[in-house]
Amino acid sequence: MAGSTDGNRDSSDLLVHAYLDGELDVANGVAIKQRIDSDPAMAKQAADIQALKEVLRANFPTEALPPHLKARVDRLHRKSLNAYRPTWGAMAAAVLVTLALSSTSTWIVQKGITSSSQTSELLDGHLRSLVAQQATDVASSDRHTVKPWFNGKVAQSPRVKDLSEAGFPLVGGRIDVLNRVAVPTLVYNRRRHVISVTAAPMVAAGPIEDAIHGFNVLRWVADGMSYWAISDLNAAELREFARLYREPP
Amino acid sequence: MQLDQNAKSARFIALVQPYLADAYTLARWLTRNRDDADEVLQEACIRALAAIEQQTGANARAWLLAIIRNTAYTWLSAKKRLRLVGLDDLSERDLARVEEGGAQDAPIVDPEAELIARANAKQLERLISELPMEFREALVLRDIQGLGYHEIAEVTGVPVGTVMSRLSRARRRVIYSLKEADA
Repeated sequence: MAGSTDGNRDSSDLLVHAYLDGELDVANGVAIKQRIDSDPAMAKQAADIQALKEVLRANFPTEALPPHLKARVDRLHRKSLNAYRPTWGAMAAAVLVTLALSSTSTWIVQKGITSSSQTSELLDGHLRSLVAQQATDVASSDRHTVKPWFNGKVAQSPRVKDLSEAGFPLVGGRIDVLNRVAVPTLVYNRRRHVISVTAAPMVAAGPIEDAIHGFNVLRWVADGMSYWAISDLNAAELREFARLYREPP
Repeated sequence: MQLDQNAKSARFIALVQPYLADAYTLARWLTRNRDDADEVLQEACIRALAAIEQQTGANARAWLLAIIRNTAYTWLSAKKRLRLVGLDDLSERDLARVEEGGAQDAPIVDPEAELIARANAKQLERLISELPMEFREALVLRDIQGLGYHEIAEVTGVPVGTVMSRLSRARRRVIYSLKEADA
């Protein structure tokens, strides 16, 4: 993505690791598997990594906590409980706390998964658009054409901003699918880089900044909508883009 | 909300206890010494207990491992057993040298996979212990403790992309050293 051979080698190197670690989604996993199968050097590298992973797992199983340490830790948190005999009330409270904690953690874990799978769904959309004939369903640099095009296709039209003077010309828009709901995506350019901006009418957790498979991802919340900006543009310029996009008109 | 000792103890049992073995494993790898690991674990438990009211239950394992990591770093720097130069403090050139280590002239490692599969625990332990702290923790958290990239990012406080590059470099160095040892 960086354009240089070194950059490409590095990023495909990371993808091989991510593939063997089960961190890629199906689409990217299939793509990297095909490259491993067709490139002997890559296949060898993958075999080495896999062998290392296996030998480490086999040689270092999780050890139980040594008894002397277990006793020390128990003393720590039970310090003032030595003279204490549990009442039914206290035991019930402890059970309730545990239940509350376990249900909270389930909820948060699920939410975490959802939020990262949202990002990977959107990244899929972005990747599809890069390999498609054109990155947009409606190709226009005129925001007065793009905004009405979304009417009737998605629940809420996104904010369409003209940023061409800042060097981010509008290319058009398309519909992506997020959690089985159609959501609007705007496409901007920066030199030869494509930036996808998706707005979804749901409030995800706080802002994130991430780099996934060589793409930079920014997410923020504004006006009750969640926004994602995805691009292989460098992080600094993507941040600059997001800042301009978010500025009030 | 001020929790009394019983409630704190109940939370400790629910949130910390299930991950103590994981916590101890990480402490051992970071300190490279069982006595130090004992101290780090105990100190980390005190910190966890003090912070237990703020802990919501979201990914308690990553939370505890992050406490272990911070405690270990503090412990080691206090003991001056490790020159704690953060990779972020190094110049580009030094960074490249640290990261490449012995593998500098061999960017594409290419030993037979069987050679790696034959490595024994002692040999692996030594090679992992020799890795710079940042690489070691990435490798241990992923390949020995089985955490996902996002969890490792949470524990070590760096972006996922950084986790990925540290992990790949750590593995590359171990693979390269195994090959060297055999040559």
